[in-house]
Formats: sequence, C-alpha cells, structure tokens
Amino acid sequence: MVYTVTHRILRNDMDAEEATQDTFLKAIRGLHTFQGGSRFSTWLYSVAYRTAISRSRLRRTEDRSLDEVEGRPGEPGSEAQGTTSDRRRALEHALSRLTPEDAAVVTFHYLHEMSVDEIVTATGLSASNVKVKLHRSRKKMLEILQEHLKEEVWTLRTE
Amino acid sequence: MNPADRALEDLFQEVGPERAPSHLHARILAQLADKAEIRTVPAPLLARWQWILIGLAAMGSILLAVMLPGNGSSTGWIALLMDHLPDMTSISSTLRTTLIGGAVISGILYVLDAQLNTRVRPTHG
Repeated sequence: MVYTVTHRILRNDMDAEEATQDTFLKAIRGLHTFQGGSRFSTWLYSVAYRTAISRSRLRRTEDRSLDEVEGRPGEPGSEAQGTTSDRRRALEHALSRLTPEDAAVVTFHYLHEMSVDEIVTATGLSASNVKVKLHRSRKKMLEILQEHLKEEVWTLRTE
Repeated sequence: MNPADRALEDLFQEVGPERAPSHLHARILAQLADKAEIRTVPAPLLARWQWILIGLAAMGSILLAVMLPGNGSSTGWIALLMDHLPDMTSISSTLRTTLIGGAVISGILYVLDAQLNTRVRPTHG
C-alpha cells in the first residue's frame, strides 16, 4: 500500500521504489514520533506522502520536459473495451492528469477508504483543502474516464 | 455517498493497489538490516548523584587513611584535624586496608559503569 501511494504521486517505477525504501527507513528511524493519536497506517502513509511529494518537487522540472517528449504514461488506446486492464489504464491515465497531491488525496480516499480527517493527518493539508481537492479531482477524473470508458457507470456526471 | 463517488470507489477497488516489484520487499529488508541501527544506551547502574557521593566518600576514605596515626606524615593542619578525630589507633591497620580496598572497588565500579553507559548496542529494526 505504501508503494501505491508513492507510485501514484511519482508515476515512475524507479522513483516509487526508492521513495518506498526511504519511507520505511524514515518510519523506522522516526518510530518514536508516532504518538498513537491516529492509526499506524495513517502515520505510515503520512511518511510516504511527505517523502514522495518531496521527491516529486525535486524532479518536477525534469518531468515536464519528459512528458513533452514521451507523452503521458498510461494513456489508454481508443479501443478501450472496459476490461480490468483497460480500466486500470484509464484510471492511471486519469490520475496522471491530476497533480501529485490530488492523486494522493483521491487514492487515500477511494482506495484506502480514509476519511477526510485521516487524510488531513496524513497530508498535513487543511480539511477544507482536502474537500476541495476531492471535489475538483472527482470532477476531472469522471470527465476523463467518461472519454475513455464506454460503460454506463461513467455516464454519471458530477453536479 | 453519491453515485459519482460510488463509481469512482468501485473503480479504485477493482483496479486495486499498485503491485510492488517482487524484489522490493527483500531490498527494503536488506537496507533496513544495513542501515537502520537503533542506538540504545542502557541506563547507568547508579545515578550521577550517587556516584558523586561515592566519589566523595572514596576521597575522604583515602585522605583519612593517609592521615591515620602511624603514618608519620601528619603535620600542620592535618595534625590539628587529627586531634579532633576519635582515637582509632587500635584499629588503624585493619581500617586502612578496608578503606583503601573500598576506594579501589569504588573506582573499578565507576569505570565499569562508565563503560556500560557509553555502550551502543546495534539492533535491526
């Protein structure tokens, strides 16, 4: 699950692996700072989030130039038929269109089923900021997914 | 939860988490074994103030042993001090041995405690 968080933020296997390693090292070294005020998984996600975001900021400029040359990763083909792998690619594509912070927030919310309060703890963002990010990301993702998945579930639109 | 939320959650759950490469787990464990040393410093055997008391007692013992009658070197203010101390002539030999022995043992214990206090035990997290 830590790897998922770092991968969703960094969108690169090698960086995600290194960030995951760093996360566990930092977690071990900073274990004494875990006060038990939240679930351990939330605390661990916060370490992963900060590690990955920090790494993504360092290489943001590099990423932009790469994206321009290679195109965004995970973009689904026009023949998407709604199989699991197609849906995976569509989801990865939709996530790649979000900022790293937004991708992490929606992953925390929809995959890890974390509440807004838990996301606040994990990310250090304010509750209102988390809600705004969730709303904005949901709207954007649904629009992207609707373009690529021809299933009725994606006819739903956010208000 | 509104339908859009439900649809997105269903998609996230269906796709599931990213699959970490099989080597990553072993790599992390190896790195933790190499680098994640937790420095643990055992508590000293005795508190600092106890050692200060013992040190003062030891110094006093040595001083007393040197100044005891029969040494032949008690002059000046030491002799004056000795005049006010109880007469321990009859037990001076035994007492001197005991006091010096006690001081030596205190010194050994102090060195041992200092060693324990600075000891670092690497453990793997």
